[in-house]
Amino acid sequence: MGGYNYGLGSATTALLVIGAYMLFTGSGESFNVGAFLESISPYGWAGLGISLCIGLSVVGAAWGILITGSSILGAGVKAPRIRTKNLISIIFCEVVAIYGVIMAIVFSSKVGFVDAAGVADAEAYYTGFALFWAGITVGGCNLVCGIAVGINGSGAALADAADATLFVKILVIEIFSSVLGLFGLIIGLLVSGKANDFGKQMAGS
Amino acid sequence: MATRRIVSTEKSLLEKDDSIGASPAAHEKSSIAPAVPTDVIMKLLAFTLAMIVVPIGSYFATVHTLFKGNSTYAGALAAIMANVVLIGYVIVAYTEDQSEQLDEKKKETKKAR
Repeated sequence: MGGYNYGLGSATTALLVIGAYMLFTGSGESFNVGAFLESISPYGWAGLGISLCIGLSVVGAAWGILITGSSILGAGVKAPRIRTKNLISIIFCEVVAIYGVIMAIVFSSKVGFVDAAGVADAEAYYTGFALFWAGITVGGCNLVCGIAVGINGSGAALADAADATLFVKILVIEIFSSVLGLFGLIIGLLVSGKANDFGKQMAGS
Repeated sequence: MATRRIVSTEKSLLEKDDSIGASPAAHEKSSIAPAVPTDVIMKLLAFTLAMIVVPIGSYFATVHTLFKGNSTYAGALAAIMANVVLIGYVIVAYTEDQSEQLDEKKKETKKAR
């Protein structure tokens, strides 16, 4: 904790000193967030969106399988019978990762080579930002959805070990938590659906 | 006066004649049947493979033919196919659970007679 505070204080002080130096020596205009964002290539935004989409989805699915799998093994001490229904939670976690893979494939189909004039185009920036934020949306939704399904599945494994007739009731709740990932997937599809491929002009213009 | 254990008639751990928990009696063979049946593992592997192949395969099969390059519709179809596989697994698990419960009931009625 102490190291964190020292680091934060040093960074703030350094930023203040540099900022004041630039402000008083007449170059304060270079503090321009918009120019900084525009100086990043649309390819950078698109690639970051794609990687965050698949990466965060896999983190969510892996987290869910981690929680569920350890609970299935723990519950197996009391009820060693492992049947297909015990492994449903694993498949539910897996589908979260598949959502991320599908969306990453959809996004990456929009990325292709254009020349320097095409990259500086406003339409290329639109595609880059749309892919970035759609990727963040899908990745974040699937991260939380994977954790939700995982904790649900952990409870399912423990409940099934205690009373095998609880299966259908648990399944209903697990379906509800797995639908959360679909919401993010739908919005990601809508946001990226309006963005054109790199270099392809809008149909109307 | 302390009583002495009669060692000659006492059974040692190797000769125990009752099964305690998973540990069997001396004259019985221990159960080496796998805890997870083979058909359960095969079902899980088959559905895992289907979960990977079916959505991605349906995306690439339809994106240029059925949807003429519109990746949004093809992505939506792939998401639907992933859910179809998921529902298939749930149905398989449900039917297996029911058949198992029916078997248990049959055994119980046989025992009652």
